[in-house]
Amino acid sequence: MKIFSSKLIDDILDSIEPVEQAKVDAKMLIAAKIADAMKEKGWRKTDLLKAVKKENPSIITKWLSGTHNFTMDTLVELENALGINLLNIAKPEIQVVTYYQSVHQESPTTCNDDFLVELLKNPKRPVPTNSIHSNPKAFSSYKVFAQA
Amino acid sequence: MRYKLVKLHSLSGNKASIYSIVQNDEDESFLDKFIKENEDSFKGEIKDILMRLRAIGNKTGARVDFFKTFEGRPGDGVCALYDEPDSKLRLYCIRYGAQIVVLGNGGPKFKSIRKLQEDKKLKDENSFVVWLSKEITDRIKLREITYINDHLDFSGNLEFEDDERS
Repeated sequence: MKIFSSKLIDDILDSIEPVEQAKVDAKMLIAAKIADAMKEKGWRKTDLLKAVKKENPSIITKWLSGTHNFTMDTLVELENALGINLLNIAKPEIQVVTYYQSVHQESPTTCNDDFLVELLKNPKRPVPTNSIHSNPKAFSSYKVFAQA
Repeated sequence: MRYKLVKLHSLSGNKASIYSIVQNDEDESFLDKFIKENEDSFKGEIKDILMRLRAIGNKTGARVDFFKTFEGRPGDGVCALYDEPDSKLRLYCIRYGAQIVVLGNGGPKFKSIRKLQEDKKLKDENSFVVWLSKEITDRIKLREITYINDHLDFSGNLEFEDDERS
């Protein structure tokens, strides 16, 4: 299919600040999350209306339309009614992450001792991606071992 | 007259594809016409509708709750997109699941108008989208148009002749 492009549409889209788009995205994503939670519970709009103790059914349509500017109170009420997280304000728990570095030596010689000594002195030194045989010094030691 | 479905790549994404219609090889789509006809009076609303379309394409998909439904015949998928539910401006479109939206034209529906039939412009735009929806549905049934890319795109004959309009 021939690609169609419109300068008029592109110019308007280019004029939109990222934060403006983020606000629209957030309203629509919250609406989608509410709709998904209702579907999971097998709820109709009237069920949600009862759960949040509201009277006007059109408010649910507005919430689900992705245009509503939710207040904090409404979001908390919806979180409680639907058992979902819409605010995500919990303090993150501290997580301990341990990193391991492994060294593999292919040669039976001690030709790479220099590299290992250096690594013990400075464990943060990056491990070379090339093989041991590409190190000329290691290769010479290997040849001496082989000749013996 | 001839009409062709074109994909609007700047609005489409991995959640939904946004199509519009080009008439007789013109270089503007029905969405461009809708913008030009309404940008003087409804600049903010036009911007909001484009932001909503971009979110539909990239974040949420074309969920039914985002549209004013039943704007055509029963089951034909014709609906309207708005920036606010009580806004005057309507953009007629056709939904194919949550993955494809075809945008027609539209216009403002003022409070003095109770039914869209009372406004010639809105009535014409609506009846065109209803006609196009039937044409697309017929071709889907005949497999002249098929869904590809996990229902994100149409494939096949996407050109329509006005003389097919009854």
